[in-house]
Amino acid sequence: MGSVDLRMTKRGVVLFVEKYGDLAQLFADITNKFSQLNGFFTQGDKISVMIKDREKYSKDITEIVSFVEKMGFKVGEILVGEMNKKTPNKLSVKQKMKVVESENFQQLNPTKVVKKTVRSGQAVIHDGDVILVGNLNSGGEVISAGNVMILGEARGVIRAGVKGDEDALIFAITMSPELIQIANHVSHVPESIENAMAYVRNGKVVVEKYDNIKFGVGRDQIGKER
Amino acid sequence: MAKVYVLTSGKGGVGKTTLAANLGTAMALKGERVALIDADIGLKNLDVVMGLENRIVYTLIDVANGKVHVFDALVRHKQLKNLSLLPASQIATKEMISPDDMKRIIGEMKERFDYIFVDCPAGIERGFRNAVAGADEALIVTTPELPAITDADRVIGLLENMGFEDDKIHLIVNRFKAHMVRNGDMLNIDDIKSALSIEVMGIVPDSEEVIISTNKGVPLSLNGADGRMNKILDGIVRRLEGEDVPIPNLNDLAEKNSLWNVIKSLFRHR
Repeated sequence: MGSVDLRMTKRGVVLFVEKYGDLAQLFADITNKFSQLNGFFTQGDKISVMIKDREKYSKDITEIVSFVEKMGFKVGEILVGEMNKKTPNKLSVKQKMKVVESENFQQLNPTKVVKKTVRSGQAVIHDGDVILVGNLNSGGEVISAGNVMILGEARGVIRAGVKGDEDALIFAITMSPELIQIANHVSHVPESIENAMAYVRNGKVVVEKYDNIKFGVGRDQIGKER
Repeated sequence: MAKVYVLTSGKGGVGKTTLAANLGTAMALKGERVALIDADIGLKNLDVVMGLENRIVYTLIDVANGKVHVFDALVRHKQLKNLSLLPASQIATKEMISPDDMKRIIGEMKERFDYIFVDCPAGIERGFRNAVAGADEALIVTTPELPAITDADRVIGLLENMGFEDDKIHLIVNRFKAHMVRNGDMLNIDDIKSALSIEVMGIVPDSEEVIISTNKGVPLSLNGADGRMNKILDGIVRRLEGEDVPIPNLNDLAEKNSLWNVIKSLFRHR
């Protein structure tokens, strides 16, 4: 099979994708390659994916990564380049991207992006993350097993992490909800806050103005100091 | 082929019946063939506001039951021959007619009229579902008050769920008081627009003339009174007919000078 190759290199295991006709054929080839080397790999191993064709990279890479992860492997890196023809286990890397999600990854179901204002009596219910592009009017409700981001005014009821996920976050441009809930912690927000993030800290729901420094680099988990 | 509008609000007492009567009359005065349907079974009001309560023989329920044909039940207006009313029954209940009945009856009427206005009862139960059933577009009536606005939002949500597209739902803000808005004591139009996220089709100022016309059973356009109200109704009618008429501003909507204001202004100039 000319289109894929699996090699052990200095970077670790690299799945090299040279060229392919259609994705279905590529996936069949990848499956074959892995089963050929059965026993060499275990579920959860981190591998790099190297792709030669830069154009194909932007169009297909999400599907390729998804396919490899469904097979049980974590994709830590995407490389654009090719195997060195002379020294088989050396790589000529033109571009490298570290896949951040493979470490800080939370995925339940695909994120539902809802582009409308949710009115009184209407609800968005989803077993994964929800992004609402619009307002959540008083009397409306968002119920999510994951995180909830409201790009608008949140005046209704927001329930995040409903299956018990205390790491779930709620963000709103205007946080003025009737009620918020994360896992089984419930809270009210006495005064409207702009650009606010709600999260659970020490068993209580905390609602604060979103701060990049607080929530960004330097914390292992939201709410917990390193 | 008639265009069918339902006037609905959720909240009671915001002016659906008054607007149905007055918009219908204003339309008819322009030569359009207009029918009004009172869908508030058991609490009929449209007939009284139109001054036709002594001319009812058959009601919407009689038509739904097949007792008479719709054209035998329609009551023609005393003055305007192109304006008719399909009255509600006062002794029946909203359960005695169904959304399918309404669709059928309106379907039978559509050929003979240019515009049909359905006066929806307050609430969101069977009465609402009946009234909305045969309508092409909805006129949401609200006053500039929070309870009315939150109810209106609920109703708009229900209409969306039922398949009404955004461009088929229009807002009329009724009983607007310009001086209260200027003082910051009443919500302004932008507040209402952002709360409800729909375009404003009309703003109707509060007016004592409305109470007088209701009790007389003579709609404003036939009452010979308050030119300002007639101008505003005319604006809404023209927008319904597709004309791009700008929405009046705060000054256009100001109350006419009460005697007290006139006296005050005399003292100010001294």
